[in-house]
Amino acid sequence: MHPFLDTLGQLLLIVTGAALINNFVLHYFVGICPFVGVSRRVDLAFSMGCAVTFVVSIAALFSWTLTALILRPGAPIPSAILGRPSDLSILNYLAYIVVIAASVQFVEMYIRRYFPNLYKSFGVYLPLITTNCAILFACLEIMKHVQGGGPEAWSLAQALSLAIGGGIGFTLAIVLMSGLRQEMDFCDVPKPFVGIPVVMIVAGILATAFLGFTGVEKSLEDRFFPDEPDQANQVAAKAEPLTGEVPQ
Amino acid sequence: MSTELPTAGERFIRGVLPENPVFRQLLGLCPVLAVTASLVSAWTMAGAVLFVLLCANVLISLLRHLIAPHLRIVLFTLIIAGFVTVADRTLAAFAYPLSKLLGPYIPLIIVNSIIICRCEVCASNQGVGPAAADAVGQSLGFGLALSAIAAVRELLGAGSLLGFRVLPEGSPDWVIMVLPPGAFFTFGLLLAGLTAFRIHRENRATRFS
Amino acid sequence: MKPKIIFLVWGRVLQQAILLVGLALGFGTLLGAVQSSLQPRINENKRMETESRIPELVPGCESVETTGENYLALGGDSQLVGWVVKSVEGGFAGPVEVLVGAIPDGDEYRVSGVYVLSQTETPGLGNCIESPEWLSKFTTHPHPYRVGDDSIDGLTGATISSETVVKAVNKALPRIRTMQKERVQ
Repeated sequence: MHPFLDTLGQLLLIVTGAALINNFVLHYFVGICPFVGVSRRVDLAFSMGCAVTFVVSIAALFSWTLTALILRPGAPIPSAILGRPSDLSILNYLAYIVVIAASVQFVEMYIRRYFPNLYKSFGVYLPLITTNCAILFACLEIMKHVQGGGPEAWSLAQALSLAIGGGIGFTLAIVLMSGLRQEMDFCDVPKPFVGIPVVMIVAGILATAFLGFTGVEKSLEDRFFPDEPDQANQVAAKAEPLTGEVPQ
Repeated sequence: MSTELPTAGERFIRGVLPENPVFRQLLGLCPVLAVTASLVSAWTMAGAVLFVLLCANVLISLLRHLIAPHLRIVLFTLIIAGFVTVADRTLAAFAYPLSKLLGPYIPLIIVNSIIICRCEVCASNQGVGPAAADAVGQSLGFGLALSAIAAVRELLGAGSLLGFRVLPEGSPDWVIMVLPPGAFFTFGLLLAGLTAFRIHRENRATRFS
Repeated sequence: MKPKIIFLVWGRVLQQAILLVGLALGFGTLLGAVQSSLQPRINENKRMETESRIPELVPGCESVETTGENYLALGGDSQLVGWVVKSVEGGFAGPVEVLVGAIPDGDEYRVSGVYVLSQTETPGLGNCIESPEWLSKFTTHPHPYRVGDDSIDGLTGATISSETVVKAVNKALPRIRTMQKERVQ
């Protein structure tokens, strides 16, 4: 297949994987705090989701660059300076925290300038995005795929796809939960369940629904990026017995 | 009006049940749901949190008069990140299978709301004694909460506790309990149960007053 | 009054700067010490994770030589007793890593063991691919493998997981063949 379409297809696979199949909130349990505390206004929840997607994309950009070029074992820049393979990976987590704090600051300034009403409605929740597990989790996933180096290490495009997919999944989850909470306001929830418990039960049902996406990634991969059928089988079956002749 | 800050002993006792970080303050919910598929991972997480919270609380308590107010949160987070790195490497060096089991959730301790909250509320206002006691108490409460959820999930989902088969061999395993939905259901039901218990006690108290 | 305030402000800034530098030095030392003392152990753990399985896959193996993803199993007097190859294939819910061990069998080779290094399949169903009883089928049937009655029985309720392991093992076979050819030459 055309190499550009191939790459695009792979990136879309990563986005779908992060958004639906391995949803950050409902499968990996990151970003739970804003998820359970989400407002009942769907439009506010959607804005929060967009803000988080924005932050996680910027954070992914800088953390990929830092990890791939400076921090990972054998990274090009410090290795060139030292003259031998370097290993600054012990500073990974510190670096990611700094990157995330800076990204949140940057997004905060941007929203304050161009969306002042939104900035007021967010209130204290905007700086709290710094402690949102989802962003650090995205950085850690990228680290996992970049740490080893070599040809399978993720490119910047793949890292950004994961970040954007994760943000989309997070937005999807909190918008769903926000709408459901709006409906629950009109229901007769038993007293012990009012508040967080019923949110947890509803989240469990949502998570069960999302479980249905398991295996979709593999089917998509098999459908769009099929291995040549039985290639390995054919090669193994055709192995001739050794005759002592030098092969061509 | 002057408020008396709690003593070390009070901090310790409060952290376990009355101000339990998970079930009362509803903090640090990410690991509560993520690592409670088995008791072993729950206890490993509780141990890691104890180490990080204790070190962070003690250090911040020692430096509390020197830290400028506007730099607080960033500084706390960086200090916590440093200790989490130490904990993560130590676990990978001495208990590699556990490290792989917990995966990305050990570094996620950095953004665990419990630790930042305790640093902010206790360590930056009190001496080393109360700060350390607070750390131990809160971690104990955290561990208790994790154990409660993990025991239910592992027992119903795999028929075992701490890896040892407890339920009879033929009994069905509710696999969904060790999958994500099970975490949400268990936590919701346990929380509802505790709330129901509290409402019941309050009703009894008001009836006899 | 003004000079005093400026002095106070600068004194505070200096104090903050000293605090930051002190913390940076302190944590730098701590992390550096952790890195130098623990990183070798961690690398060893990672290595042993794979290499400790090799004696189970290739009987008589006493030491191992490695070239990346391929391992040469050496016996008592550094004699070659077999090969082990690590292979990865996408499974139902994530990648499945397997180790395939093979021993020489005349001019051919025979698969002597398969071990699942890591998988994230459904608990109770897909993760039965780790069971030794099922994996031993790879040693009793001839290669190359298929999921079916005449070769490897698929696991009930875990068709895709079974096929994944079979694919992964089949992918490893040409690499074993190459190593075997090199050895005879």
